[in-house]
Parts: sequence; structure tokens; C-alpha cells
Amino acid sequence: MTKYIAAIAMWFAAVASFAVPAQTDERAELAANLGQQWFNRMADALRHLDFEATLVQAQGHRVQPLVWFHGSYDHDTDLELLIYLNGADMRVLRIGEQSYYYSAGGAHAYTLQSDVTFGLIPPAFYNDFSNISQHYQIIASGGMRVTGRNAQYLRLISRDNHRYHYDLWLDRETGMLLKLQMMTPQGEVLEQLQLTSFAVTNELPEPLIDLGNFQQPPRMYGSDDSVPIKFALQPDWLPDGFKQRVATHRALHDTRLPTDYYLFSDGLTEISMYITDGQLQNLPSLALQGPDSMVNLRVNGYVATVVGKVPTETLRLIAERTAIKATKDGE
Amino acid sequence: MSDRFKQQASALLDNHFRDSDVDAERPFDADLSALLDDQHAQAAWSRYALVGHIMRGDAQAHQQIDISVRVAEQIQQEAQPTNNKVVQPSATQGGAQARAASRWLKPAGSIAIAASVALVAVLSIQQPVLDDTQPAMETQVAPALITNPFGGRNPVSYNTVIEQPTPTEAEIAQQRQLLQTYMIDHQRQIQLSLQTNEQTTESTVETVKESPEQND
Repeated sequence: MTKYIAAIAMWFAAVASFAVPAQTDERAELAANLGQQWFNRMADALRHLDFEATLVQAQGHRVQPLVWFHGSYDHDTDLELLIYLNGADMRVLRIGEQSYYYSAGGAHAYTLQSDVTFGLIPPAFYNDFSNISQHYQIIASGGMRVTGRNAQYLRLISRDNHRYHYDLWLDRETGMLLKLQMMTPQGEVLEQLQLTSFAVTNELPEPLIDLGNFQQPPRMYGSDDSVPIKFALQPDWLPDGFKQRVATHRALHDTRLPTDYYLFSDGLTEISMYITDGQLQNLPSLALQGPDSMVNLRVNGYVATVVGKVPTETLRLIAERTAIKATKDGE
Repeated sequence: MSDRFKQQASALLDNHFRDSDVDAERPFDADLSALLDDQHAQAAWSRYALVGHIMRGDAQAHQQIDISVRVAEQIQQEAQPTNNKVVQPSATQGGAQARAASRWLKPAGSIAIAASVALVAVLSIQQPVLDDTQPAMETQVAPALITNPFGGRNPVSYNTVIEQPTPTEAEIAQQRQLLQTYMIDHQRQIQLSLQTNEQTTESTVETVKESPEQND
């Protein structure tokens, strides 16, 4: 018996000596695990919760109030309706994997085949955190009262400073997203979303029940993606984790400017890159920082234009670190 | 100018001035006032004074002798333009005011672009759509590219940093439109990529790599 006690005491002493650093590590890991759990709860709530909410979306000085209905039908297809309340009447209706975008009069309406509603929150928030865990980490820390409810606070931080960070506040009861802030690595808030009312309905919210016959607007198609890129100037550097999704040559919409187009994504953030002949495009070298940043840079007789929800510095690096490569017949 | 005036000026300087018609009661009168009224005599007086100063060694190298004339002239010249105009800061004018002014003037063009971009963004939202020509035929209408995607009106305006002087006013409208086009196209491409994601998840991964000769 005494032997056991002595052994236990020894064991405790041994553990105690490592306890201090181990504990902080453990705590960080715990916060990260907790963060992931919360994030996945949110993704689940965005897919399966029946709710109606009002919210405000702020970008810079622009504020847009919306109403948001969501519900799932037969536990299979989820339905979502977003109505923009200021300015022209704009609505987004999504039924499962079809989303319909309407604006006043219907002339600009279009259909997308996508199971997320574009324009409100990043599509990645509808999916499991493991999709973006390689380049972002999420930390659960504390909470506060948001939209009159008990909220869990999460920080979604990129692993380098080439991307924006997100602060999230989730309803502790349902996991629903109540507030979101997108900010620069320096902490300047660029975009905010704040629910002003939120109610779980436990059944399909009323506006979603009688969808009977509505007009399906034409499907939006991209230009032919199969035309290979033409210009010798090509991207040579991207922040870690960005992968090329599209590389094609086409005429830039409206302008007919012959353009090599690239789309990159890290799962959460998208960056577009346009390369044109320096003689045809007459924009000065410029950098715009905002919810969508943009850099226009002249390189070796070409113009590289990079757009995306990342700091201007990142866009500038991408535009600068381009290289002349052999097209088509070379390499 | 007569020599007499010069003498008198000199005498006045040395406190030896005497009026020609000596009168005990009014010692300085006609001659003195004549002397004081004569411009050349005044000039001579100041020259003598300067000579005296130099000889006594109490002259200063940069002593500005008489700026009053030039100031008067300057005022006369500028009187008309300054009447109806705010003071025009010139590059040569030193001081904070000029610097502040040039700070304001320089990026004016670029601000103009950015602000007008924002304006266009707002206008394009508010514009009511008039031609209601039955857009919903069937799902397979090919060039639906005239549509404006939803996120396409992000404010493009704040924190503008322009690195080079902007080109002429005439090009600004065109440039503004081009900026807007890039922003809208970016939004549209993201939306289209959401669609291709659908396809890739449905029919295994294959559409991602478009061009094999492209290595990144």
C-alpha cells in the first residue's frame, strides 16, 4: 500500500516538472480543437437549422440590411432566401443546389448551380473546417452577448499574413453564426455582418413554404474555358495554399480586351489575375484596398491586374513575382 | 538735381542744415520742405547715410535699405488678381501652406477616379431595370453574361493609393469603367467557380487542371 502511495507521489512529482509548458500547449490545442468543433457546428447549423433572421452587412461605409430565411425540406434539400432591403429589390433564393439571383425587374436575374448562396458569407463556412485547416487555424476563446444571445467567440486566423482574418461569434445554443468580422492582419475591420434578430422556427419558415411556381432565370455560363493562355507573362508566386483553378484566355467582359485569366483559391479566399498587353490597357499602376482589393501593375510590357479579398501587399507580390515563360510550344 | 540740394542733404545729415533765409523763429522752412519733397534729394540722403554707416563700420551686409517701393509695386501688381481669387500657392512659396496645398492638389486626379468608381457602383445598384423582356425562357440560354453578379458592387473606393500621376481627364471615365469591369468579372468568376466545384465533386476531380503546360 505504502509502495503504491510512494509511486503515485513520485509520478506526480515527475509530471509536475513538465506540467507548466505542457499545460499551455495543451490549452492551445484544446482551444483549437474547440474552435474546430464550433466551426463545424456552424457549418451544420447553416445547412440544417430552420431559422429567420434579420441582419446588417457593412462594407466600408456601405451598410446593407437584409432578411434571411433558411430551412431544410425533408432533411434533404435546404432552402434559403435572402432579401436585400435597401435600394433595388434584390433577392437570392436557393433550393438545394440551385441558386437563383433576382434583382428588380428581373432583367439581371440568373441561376447558378451551387449549393451555397454567394455574397453573404464565404462558401467555405458551409463546409467542414478540415477543408481549410491547412492554411487557417481557428481558436475558440471566451464569449460575450451578441444579438441578445450567449455567444461563443472564434478567431479564424491565417497561418501567414497574406490573407485576411475573421472573427466569428456563434450562438452557443444552436451554433448559428451571429456576427462576423473580416479584418486585415493589422486588425482593421473591412467587412462586418451582424444579425439583429434571430429566431429558430423549428419548421420551414413561412416565406419558404409556398414556393409554387417561380421563374427560373437563365443559367449563368462562363466563357469557354478551354482556350489556353496566350501571353508569356505568367504568375510565378502565390501565397502558400493557393491553387490554380482556372487558366484560360478570353476577352474581358464588356471591354473585349484580350486577357489571360487565372483564378486561384485556398478554399476560403479567391484571387483573380488578369494579364493583358501593356499597350491595350491604359490603367495606371494602382492599388485599391477594400473588401475586394486590387492591384494593377505594369510588368515587362504586360499589365498584371490582381483582384481578391486579400491585403494589397499580397496582390502586389503576386503581380510583381510574375515571370516570362514559354507558352505553348516551349517547355 | 542741383548741387545745392546735395549739399543741403549732406548738411541735414550732419545736423548742419540751415535755411537760406535765416529766420530765428522758423529755422527750417521753405528749403527744408523743398528738400524733403525732392525724390533725388531723398535718394542722395539715404546714400550719404549709407556711406556714413559704412565708414563708421556699423553698416550690416544684408541691410535691406528700402523695400517699401518694391512692396508698394508688388501690391499694385497683385491688387487685381487677388481681388477675386483665393491666394494661389506657388511652388516657390515656402511654408506649410504651400506644402499643404500641393498635398491637396497632387492626388486630386486619383481621388477623382476612386470616388467616381464608387459613384458608378452606387448608380448601378440604384438603376431600376426598365426593359422587362421576359428573361426566363429556359435554363439553357447561352450568353447570360450581361448579368450583374451579386457581390459585384463592392465599394472600390477607400484607401486609394495611386503610385503614378494619373493620365488626362479624358481617360478617367474609361479607366473607371475598366476598374469596375475587373471587380465585376472577379465576382462573376468566383460564382462560376462555385459551379465548377459542384461539377468536380459530382464527377470526380478532373476539370481542375486546365492547361497541362502551365506549371505553378
